[in-house]
Amino acid sequence: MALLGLARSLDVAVIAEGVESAASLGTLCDLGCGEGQGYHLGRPMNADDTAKWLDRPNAAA
Amino acid sequence: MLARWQREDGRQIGLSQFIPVAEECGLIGELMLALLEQACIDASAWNPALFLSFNVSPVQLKDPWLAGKILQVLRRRGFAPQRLTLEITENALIAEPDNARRIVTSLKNQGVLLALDDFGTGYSSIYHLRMLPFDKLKIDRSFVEGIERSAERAGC
Repeated sequence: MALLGLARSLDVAVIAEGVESAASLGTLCDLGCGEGQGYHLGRPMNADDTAKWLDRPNAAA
Repeated sequence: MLARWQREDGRQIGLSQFIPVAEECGLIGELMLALLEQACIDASAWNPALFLSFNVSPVQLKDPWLAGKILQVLRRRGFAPQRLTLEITENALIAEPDNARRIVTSLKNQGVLLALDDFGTGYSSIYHLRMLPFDKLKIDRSFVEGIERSAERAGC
């Protein structure tokens, strides 16, 4: 994706919005996109559930 | 950070419904600062490596004291400015370019990070990227949907 190249050349980190499937996550990772948000990664939740979700055993960085 | 309005009957109202009302009533500034304060309280208990992202609306950028108000909340709650990312859309920059620049400069000087939201959906994206010292760029979901479709076509 050309946008990722542009961001790299401007030395700006990239976050992908709307990551809703394993397929798009995989493609984004392959393209070097380091951060994302979307239903595939986590659904909206309240603060208490967020704390539990962050502490879950297989939490990724 | 995402906000929902909970009605007495337990039903949750989405942002697109209550934010325009708050803007119209002139309550958006106070509402957002109250939300930021609660988020700082909640996030203080989390791993300090985690940060908060917070959207700022075009209406809020009209407030010349916005940067000071945000920093005051952070100080009151002992929340490091380096753990806060402010997300601003291109449309907000177009609406309030001078105010946006002043507010962002004050906040960046204190360590707050800056993200350009909904990138790719505005008028002249590259111009806005260079206009302010952005740390992050949020690629709009329409591009991510495109990625998925092209991967499906390739048989991934």
